[in-house]
Amino acid sequence: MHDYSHNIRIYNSIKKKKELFIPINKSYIGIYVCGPTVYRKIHLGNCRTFIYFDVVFRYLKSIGFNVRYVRNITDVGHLENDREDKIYNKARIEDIEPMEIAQKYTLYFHNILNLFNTLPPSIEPIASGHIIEQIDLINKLIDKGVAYKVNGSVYFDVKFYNNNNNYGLFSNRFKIANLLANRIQNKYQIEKKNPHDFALWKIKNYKHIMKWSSPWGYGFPGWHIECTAMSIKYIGDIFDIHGGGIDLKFPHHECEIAQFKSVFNKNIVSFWMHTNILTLNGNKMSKSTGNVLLPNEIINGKTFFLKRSFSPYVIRFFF
Amino acid sequence: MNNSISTFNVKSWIKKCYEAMNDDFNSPVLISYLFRAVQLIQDIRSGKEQLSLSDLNILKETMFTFSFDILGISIYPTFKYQLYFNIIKYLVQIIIQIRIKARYDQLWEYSDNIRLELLKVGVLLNDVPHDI
Repeated sequence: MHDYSHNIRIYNSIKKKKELFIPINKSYIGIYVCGPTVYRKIHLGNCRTFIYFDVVFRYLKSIGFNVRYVRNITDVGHLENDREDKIYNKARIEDIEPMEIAQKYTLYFHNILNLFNTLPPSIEPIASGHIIEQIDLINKLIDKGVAYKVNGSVYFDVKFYNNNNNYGLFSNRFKIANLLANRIQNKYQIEKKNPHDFALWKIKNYKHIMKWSSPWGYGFPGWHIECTAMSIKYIGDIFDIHGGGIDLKFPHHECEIAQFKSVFNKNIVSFWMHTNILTLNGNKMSKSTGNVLLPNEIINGKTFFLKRSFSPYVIRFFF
Repeated sequence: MNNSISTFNVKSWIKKCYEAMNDDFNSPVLISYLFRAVQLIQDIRSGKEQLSLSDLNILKETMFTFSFDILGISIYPTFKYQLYFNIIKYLVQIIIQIRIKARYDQLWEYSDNIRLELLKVGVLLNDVPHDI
């Protein structure tokens, strides 16, 4: 068969253009994709990202590459309003333990992706299983002066980082960064030096049971640090592809880039790939607005958006 | 049919499929080429096109690679439906036979209703001329 592996062009979000893909390592291609925060049922828009990267994974393998595909599970640390963990909040609503929430929705996520016939990733690390790595990385950021401790929490110092870098450059969010800089801090942000500083480690709430011992006291890690820690651990301090939904570009990936650059003084990702949002009736598919389709609703046809059911493969075909 | 002559350039078609995927994993363009191959298969069936045995095998292999290995479509049911798959397959075949009989008897309304009902559960029947 003809060798098609030498002329792959990929749209690189960080360069905003298509570039020739040249693997960094001869032994494997490293791909890290941000997985779900497992606190609710994933909707079709979420599925699109994972099906898309499944096709990327399959294609690269089919033309002869070894691929190490890492897709994480966020089971701790994804904060709402700079304050509370999404999983913890859902545990209160469902009146079960946070780890029961994580387990329940991780299983749901796997079941849905099985219906869509996606291959399992090479490694599927969970955030709560990598606390030591995250603490280690936070310590490095403190040592470099780009993170600071306050009241048992640790924050990334965006203003300090901006002395030599441009926070917001990747996601083109300078204006938003400025707006954030000018806004009045709410009571949960008051301990930060600046409102756009983001949490690397949060002190535990008195009723919080998802907490771990750290040099700064009992607490839990922030969302952005987990992907940085796990990608470095499993695919190295320079790797080929980092992917996710476009809604993760800011703040999540912007913050990840800031963390990478602060620790390694360089961009460690060759290609940033983002899947676009899925729309329904012209609007973004979103759980919060109710403009949403769950995979099961399409497969069994029980939704007022559709007149009939569709096979998971039909759905997959159009992703 | 002459099994040594092809009226369709399979190698060029394969190249286009890979070029589509090499262009930022452009699966919609790839799918358009797969549909082109489906059209080709129908044209071969109706005698408008022909493929040599060798090209036919290459086409089949490439269609399988792209449809099943790369796009991830499966001809087998997912785990959830595994137990029921054979029963459903058997029942659908019985229904199709009933419909064929209806078409043979020129019971068009009856056969159309069967087609529409099957479509509701995702079974698409593709009628071709003179193929009852």
